[in-house]
Amino acid sequence: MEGLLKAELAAIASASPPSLRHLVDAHFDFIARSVRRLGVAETDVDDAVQKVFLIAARKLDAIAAEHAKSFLFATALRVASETRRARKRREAGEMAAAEAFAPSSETPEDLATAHQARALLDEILDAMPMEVRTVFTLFELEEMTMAAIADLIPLPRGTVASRLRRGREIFHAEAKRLRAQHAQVGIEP
Amino acid sequence: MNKDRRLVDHGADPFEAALLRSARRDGASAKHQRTLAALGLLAGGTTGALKAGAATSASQAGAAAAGKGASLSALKTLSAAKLLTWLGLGAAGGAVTLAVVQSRLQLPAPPRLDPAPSVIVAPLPHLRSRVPPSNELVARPEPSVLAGPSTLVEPPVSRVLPPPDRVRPRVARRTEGLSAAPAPEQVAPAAAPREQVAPAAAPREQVAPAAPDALLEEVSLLDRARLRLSRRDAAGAQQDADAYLARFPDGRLASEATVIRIRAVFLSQGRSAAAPLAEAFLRQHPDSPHASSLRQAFPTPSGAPDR
Repeated sequence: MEGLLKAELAAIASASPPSLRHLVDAHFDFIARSVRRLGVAETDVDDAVQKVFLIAARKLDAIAAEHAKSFLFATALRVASETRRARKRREAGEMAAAEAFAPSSETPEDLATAHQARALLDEILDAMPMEVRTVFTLFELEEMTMAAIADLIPLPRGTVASRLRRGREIFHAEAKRLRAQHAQVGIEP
Repeated sequence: MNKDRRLVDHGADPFEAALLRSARRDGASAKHQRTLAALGLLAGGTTGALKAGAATSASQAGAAAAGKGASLSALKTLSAAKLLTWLGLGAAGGAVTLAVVQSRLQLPAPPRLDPAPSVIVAPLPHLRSRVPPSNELVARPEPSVLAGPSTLVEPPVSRVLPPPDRVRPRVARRTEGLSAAPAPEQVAPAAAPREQVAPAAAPREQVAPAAPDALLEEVSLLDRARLRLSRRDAAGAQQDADAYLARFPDGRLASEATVIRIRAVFLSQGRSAAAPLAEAFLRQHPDSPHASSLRQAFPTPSGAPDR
């Protein structure tokens, strides 16, 4: 199946490399950030991005230039979802085993640093339904305007606004929960 | 009010803002060139997955086997890289162990990048430089088994022996269609023991005899112990660790086996049963790389981790 896909892509790429190249050059960074924020682990980002563009290459003829970003983002959503599920299956047992040990005794301040902060952000984003997470990350992390998000997904602007509100509610609630959780650990005897 | 104001600038407290800011480098590690190579879009590139797939397709059709050399090279590279991945390059200690395994098996040197970037060799770029060329470090480092809090995100143990579904499809994907090249088992004999170890249902008796030398047997035993631990099969993991320690009391991975055993006891019998084992280990190996995570997992009676 994969071999077939690659062979197919080879033909497409050789027929229209400039278009595909343009897609990659123009949207690579955005797609890489997006799949990461949609829940793909850092170590899986490269593979996920490649998959997005492989799919795009197969459907190149059907992608209108003005909708390319929208198409790629929709593809990234699906790929991210698949990648997340696959990783969860792989790690379920490992994580469970790891969690059997004592939690960190670090304080919230300690945790709010680079790597750990990013891991906590993942935990918060994971608590959001995907449609909410999508809008939240595009607005708060990608810093797109609500109008641009409505065009990208596409969605009515009112829906974008309501999902962003919901995302923010979840963000505040989860951040509060995490802070309390780690503060509790910090004072644990 | 500006409806497009970001939370990080307005409404987030410092903790929340720090979390939001932590995403600013998202995707920075993704490799643009690697994707171009995968798509066959690099000028003059010949080793991308797409090209390999094309070459495969062509060879299947009986056409010229263009890309054969690249495929073979990539497959050899893949074999070495996968062996390293399977056997634990995720942890520094594991890296050392695997460097030894690699040298014992006379596998190709740690993968070198081809002139054109290749997605096949990509998964371990950050690790290559960490693999020492000699095996003199074998006795010293111990792979991290008791992961600290930060490694919950990317547990070294999981890299040491990922479940079968994490490995096999990837191997198939990377090698699929490379019909001009030998089957993976032919090119990478070292992969065979791993393939035998991985399936949960595979009886351990099939593993040890297949190991060509003592080191491989050591690694195989601990591989299965880790796998079982990752699946919360504490009894099985403990059994494997005990088997290792009985067979290799002075083994090069004895410390790791001991820590796996402690972890298995923790899972099956709880902290109180595991704590004396941890204390004994710490008395014997106060400077072990496992020491800090053990101290964290098993704080001293005064309550604070003894760091």
